[in-house]
Amino acid sequence: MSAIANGTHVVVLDPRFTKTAARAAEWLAVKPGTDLAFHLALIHELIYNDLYDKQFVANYTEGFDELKAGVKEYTPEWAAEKCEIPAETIARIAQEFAAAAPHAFAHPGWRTSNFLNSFQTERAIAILNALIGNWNQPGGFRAVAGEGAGLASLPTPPFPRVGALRLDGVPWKYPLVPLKLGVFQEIRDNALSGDPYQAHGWFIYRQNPVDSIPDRKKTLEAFAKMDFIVTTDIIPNDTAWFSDVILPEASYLERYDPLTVVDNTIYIRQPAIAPLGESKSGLWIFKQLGERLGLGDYFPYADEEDYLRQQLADLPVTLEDLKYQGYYTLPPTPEPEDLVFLTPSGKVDLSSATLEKQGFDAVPQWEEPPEPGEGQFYLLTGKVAYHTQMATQNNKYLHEMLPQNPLWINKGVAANLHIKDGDQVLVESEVGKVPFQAFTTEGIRPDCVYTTQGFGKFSKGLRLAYAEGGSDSDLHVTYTDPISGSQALSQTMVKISRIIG
Amino acid sequence: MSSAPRVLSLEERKRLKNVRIKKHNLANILLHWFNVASWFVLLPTGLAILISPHFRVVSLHFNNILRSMFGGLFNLLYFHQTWGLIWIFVILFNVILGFRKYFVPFSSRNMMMDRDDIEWFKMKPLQVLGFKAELPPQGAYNAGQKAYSYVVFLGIITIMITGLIMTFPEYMPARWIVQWALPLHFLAVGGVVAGLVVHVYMGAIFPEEKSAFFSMFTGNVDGLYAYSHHYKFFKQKVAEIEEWEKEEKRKIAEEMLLQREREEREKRQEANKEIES
Amino acid sequence: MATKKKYGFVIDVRRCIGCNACTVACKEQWKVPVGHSRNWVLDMGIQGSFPDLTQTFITGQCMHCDDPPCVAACPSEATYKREDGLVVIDEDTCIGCGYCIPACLYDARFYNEEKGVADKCNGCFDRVEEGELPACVATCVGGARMFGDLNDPDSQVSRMIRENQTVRLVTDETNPGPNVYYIGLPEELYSEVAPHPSELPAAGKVWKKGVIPVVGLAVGATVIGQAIAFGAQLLKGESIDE
Repeated sequence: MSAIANGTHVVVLDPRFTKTAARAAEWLAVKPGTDLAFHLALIHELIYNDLYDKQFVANYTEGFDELKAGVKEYTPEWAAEKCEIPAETIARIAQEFAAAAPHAFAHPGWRTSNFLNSFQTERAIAILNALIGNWNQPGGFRAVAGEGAGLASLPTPPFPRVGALRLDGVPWKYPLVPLKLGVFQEIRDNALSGDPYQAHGWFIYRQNPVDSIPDRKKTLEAFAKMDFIVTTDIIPNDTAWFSDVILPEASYLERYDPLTVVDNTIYIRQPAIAPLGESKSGLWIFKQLGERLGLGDYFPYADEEDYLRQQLADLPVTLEDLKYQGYYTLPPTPEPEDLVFLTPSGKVDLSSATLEKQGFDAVPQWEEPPEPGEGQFYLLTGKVAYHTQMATQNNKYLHEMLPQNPLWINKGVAANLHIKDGDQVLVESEVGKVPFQAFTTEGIRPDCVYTTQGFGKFSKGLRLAYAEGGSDSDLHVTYTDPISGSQALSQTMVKISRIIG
Repeated sequence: MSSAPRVLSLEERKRLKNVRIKKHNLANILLHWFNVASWFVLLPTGLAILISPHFRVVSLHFNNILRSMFGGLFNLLYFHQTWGLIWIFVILFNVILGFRKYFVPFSSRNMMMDRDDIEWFKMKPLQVLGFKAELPPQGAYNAGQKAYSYVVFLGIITIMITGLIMTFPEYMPARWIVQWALPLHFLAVGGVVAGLVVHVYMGAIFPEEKSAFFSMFTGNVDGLYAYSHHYKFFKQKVAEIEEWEKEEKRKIAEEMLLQREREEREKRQEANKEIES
Repeated sequence: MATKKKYGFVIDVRRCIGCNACTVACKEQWKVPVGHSRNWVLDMGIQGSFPDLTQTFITGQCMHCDDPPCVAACPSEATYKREDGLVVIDEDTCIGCGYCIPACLYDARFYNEEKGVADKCNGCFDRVEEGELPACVATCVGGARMFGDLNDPDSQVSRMIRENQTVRLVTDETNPGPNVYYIGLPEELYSEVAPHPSELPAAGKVWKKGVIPVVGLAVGATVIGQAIAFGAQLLKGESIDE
């Protein structure tokens, strides 16, 4: 909001008129799945109208010529037909974007697991930023210290080698997904199929797969196949509800977490009150489990404070100072002589050899997304400011703000279906049927419906939120992007009908 | 101004003036003065609480002076409420404990309206305006006092109930009860105060009622006052004395008769003794 | 000699993102019961027709007016205006009669069943006295809420009022002197946030218009009557009976 107050021109692409769109200068009601076309056209305009930062491209990028060739047909006219944004608008935005460069920024978006082509969309956005050379410029991208920079690691014996294949398909099915991350829904699918081997137990920590993985029915079937499920969570959420053992973790207000570095500053998370009930910090839980499994050496700390002290071993700040102040600013990392990027070439890969090696397109290419059939709608899902993911629906004050998740339907469409604002409607996908309360509005494309994630709880431990609203994961069909492993949550098409009686 | 049946001579007046007739018992007297003291305290503090420009009936200076004296609204309220509770308790204690033996007979004897009272209401305004009007004889309390006693009876009950509502609002089942308690409290107090103006004047300032004023300390009124202003009361008291005197005379006569019979019997016994010996 | 403080708010509607962080922060700070709120964020709804749409969020709370009709309505001044301009409720002397609630033109007050008193924004006076901002201002994500001393020309609020066009929620007939200034409030929405006239509840109206005149007449009549009688008595002198 400060940027907007300072005159930043914000353009929002969204099939829905969100609060962000309401505060932005321009809202473009993009057709779902076609953001890629829009961004490819912008790249086309920057390149073919000579609007890109030639210096930056020459010094810090690789593969410009392949990119140029690759985007030749992606004109604004071509894109307009795909994304239903007028060609003149696309061309104008390209001009204005380039004119503001390098103090311009193409935002990668928050949740980008929308369509199978979302990976390409993200690539296109990254390239767009590279083409105007906004790296480390005011109003552009900023380099920050890496995670954990300056903090010491605790000494552990070397980790044993894992011989078995990872159940989430990394890297044997998804060669480009970093080992540090994973493909969550794959665990569920493989647990069900027993391929490459049958899993028998599942230890779940700080995740809520019952609510967050698409196709909740399937997830619960996978759960049923487990002999033993343990969940660590701070509230009795849906995943905890279906577990054999719940290890209650203290909330962020009641525990120490390992120190983190954000933007060159170390922040401490420390308890404001002693943990309520029997809950404990994650650090404590894992140490206790580790010791009982004979793995005590891998948890070389006496308690949470000891862990933090060890992290600070190389720094001139004590834990007491940090507890009092709340943060410690590290000496600024010296500006590198020259920009170096974490790619094989050391430069921005406008054309990626890595992708090519795996048989994917080296430069971003258009991938046609699916469209709804006759009488179907895109099911869009997202978040609200009041709630955090799937975790806060039971909070007394937040529940008061938004107790359930109405389904956004375009007013004209609703009228045709004889749906009035507030009516109960049934939403039906390939994998599930869920009732919602209708919210008729002008603020959504006629071919879309939308609901907020995180409702429709199964857990009776959530006394306020139990059974309120509907769960989007009951409706989502599982689509996984082969490159990034991301779920494509907006590709589920649904039918809507009014519930009578 | 009297409702006496005839004009008395100076001699008779002097004689009656020295006669003392009991009108109020000690409990009555104490309760009355406790009430006076309480109203001296509750009325100003209550008025000082009422500061809203919509409802205030005293000057803002008055509100502020009293608040300063007590050290703020909270203390002022606390004082008014505490004294109010004590006041309620003392009155109810008196009335409830003496309900059967005193309150009921007293009220039924002295406070019920009769034909003379209705006549009095017609005559008194004429008299006040200066016309010649003969007032019908009145009992222990005249019609005006009886009427005021009704105002006080209803008024005090209202003041107590509404006062309790405002002191313990958290126990009220609905907010409109508290909302209406405020104007009703004010109305009841206002009604009693309007009558008080007359009551105080009549009791303490009006010269013909001097005997009544002192009766609020001694418990007695003089005979002349009773004869002049409360003739039916006077008659009743005289009748009581006459009744008593008659009873006394009868008892004395009976005693004398019995005595004479006893003496004659003794004489006869002595005479018989003499004849035998 | 320092000028008296006059605390007030400036709200930049263009920066409000309708997140309700202010509502929750206030509820948490003051333990406001579920079902009530000391402040509000009005979602004026998505206006226009697809795809030419706008949406405005208007946040507000008690306006800490210069001439508060709620303070006037309170029979005992259990709610009062402080020297620094904040209008507050003394929970120890409030009896929860609720006269103040319909008196507020902005519907800023409500009855708190848990405490049995009237309740509303109190400007977080204890935080302000410590030099902090009210909870809603401190937490405002969009930077829409501002608070400070309107009598201090160097305060943020004074500067914002000088440098921007502002409106207050008043009409020609209804102007209690609110101390909340709005920046960027769309004109077409004025009628939806206009104040309504201050009212007393039925009991208060009956009290003011009925009971007080009647009692006044009664007491006046008896006082005058007795004064005349006393005058006559003085003129007459003592009689032989006395």
